[in-house]
Amino acid sequence: MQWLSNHTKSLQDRFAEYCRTGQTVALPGTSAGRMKHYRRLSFNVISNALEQAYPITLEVLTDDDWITLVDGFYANHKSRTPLLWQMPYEFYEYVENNELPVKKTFPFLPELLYFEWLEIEVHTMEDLDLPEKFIARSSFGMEEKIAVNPEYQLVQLTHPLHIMPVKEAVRHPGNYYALIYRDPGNGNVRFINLSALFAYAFDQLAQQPVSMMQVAQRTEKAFRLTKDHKVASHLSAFIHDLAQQKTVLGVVS
Amino acid sequence: MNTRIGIGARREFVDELITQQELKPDFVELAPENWMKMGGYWGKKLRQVTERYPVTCHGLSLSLGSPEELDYEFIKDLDKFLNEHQVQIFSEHLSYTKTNNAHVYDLLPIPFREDAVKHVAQRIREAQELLGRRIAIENVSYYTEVDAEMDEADFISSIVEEADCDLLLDVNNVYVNAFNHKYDAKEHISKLPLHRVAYIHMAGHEQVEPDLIIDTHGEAIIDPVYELFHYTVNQMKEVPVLLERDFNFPELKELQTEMNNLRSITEKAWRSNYAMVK
Repeated sequence: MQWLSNHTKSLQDRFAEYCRTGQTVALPGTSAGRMKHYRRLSFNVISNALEQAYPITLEVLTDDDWITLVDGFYANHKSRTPLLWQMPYEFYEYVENNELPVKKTFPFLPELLYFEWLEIEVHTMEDLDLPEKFIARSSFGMEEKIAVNPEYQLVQLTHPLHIMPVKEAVRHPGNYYALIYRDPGNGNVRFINLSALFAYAFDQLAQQPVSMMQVAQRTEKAFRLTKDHKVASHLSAFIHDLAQQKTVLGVVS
Repeated sequence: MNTRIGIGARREFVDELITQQELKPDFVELAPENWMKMGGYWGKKLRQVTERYPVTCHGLSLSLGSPEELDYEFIKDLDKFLNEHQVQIFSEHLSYTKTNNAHVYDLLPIPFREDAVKHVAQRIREAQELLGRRIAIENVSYYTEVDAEMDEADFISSIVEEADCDLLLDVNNVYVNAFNHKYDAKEHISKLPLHRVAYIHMAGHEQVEPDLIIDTHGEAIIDPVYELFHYTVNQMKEVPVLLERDFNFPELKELQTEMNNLRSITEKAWRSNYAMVK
């Protein structure tokens, strides 16, 4: 049974709308002087969560641009997640999907936000299981199926945000690949810069456990390479390097 | 008798909770939304804490006072979290944090109205059924009424009665509301269904205007709130008591001192209650 009257529902909706927009609303039986504290406090919650999530963006934008962006997000975006720590991802989506003046000044903004979010996601994502029949190992034969650390994100970037400061990165547009992963020992997030070829190879390994030989064959085909290019040899060195960095963890028997 | 005195677990001192150098609570309270769906470093810390202490949870986003329907996906996730960590008491705020499918991540005041009583009570009943456990609802701090038809005590009491749920009595919130809305705190407490109190919260606050206190959880508990706490526990049975401190953290020994103060007051009150019963 629906108990709530339209009147009470409207009071609640308009109260919350005021908190999100700050636009004055006359609600019966309220104190305007007191309502402003709800606007201030709730805005601070949103703003603080975003500042913690996006410290680099906060540093890059002017204070006015940042406040305008956060204000617009709170007013115009309906946050879906009940988990405050996940709300910053919706902020990234909001910036990515809307025409915003700040993007004219900072066209790389969506990518920067996404990059910063990925660090949070990889650090915080739920623990993922290793494949069945996993055996920890740091050296591998060419025919053994390789098991990668499942807590990672492989991302293509148009600016090398993972290897240089933002102001420098924006002067070097191109195609970059970053492997962002969680160190299984201490939970820290680490970044590896990859070539397109190794990014492809890692992606093949990560889809399902396959051998280095299989990945080498697929890579040769995808990049139209021949045996003369010694892909298998390069790949073997690459994967052993990944094992040192705990991005490859062992084999599947 | 050993009354359980706990503290709200915060990331800022989670390592201290694990090592127990200066903080020695009997239990810890978690805000589930701050820990749900987390693995890695924080997931590990969470497991270390929940393996060491009995756990209660104080929800933030269930939004029992929302006009719209409950978030059933969220309730599933919440249920999983509460069971996984063997949570002994689950509480939520008597407020709303979401309308029109938009979260505001803050506790907004439900209008003290007859239809809201029935609506919120129905939602609490439904949430209790879905979670398979009783919920203790907390009296929140509010800074303005919204077209009220009744006073706060009647609103809370009616909902607790209709929903057949427990009450989390936040004594600091009573103090804050009594100051902000100029009513008598002790009289207010005497009007609440104290037999349904499953849990007590204590905290500090900040006076921001001559006639306004904000419930910040960022300061030490002040003497008048201790005094109100003393009055309250003398009216009721023994329940767990929790110290909330969410930011502006002092030396941890000061938090332990606050917990010791709470223990001292409760043991004195509830020991004498026991003596009277015997």
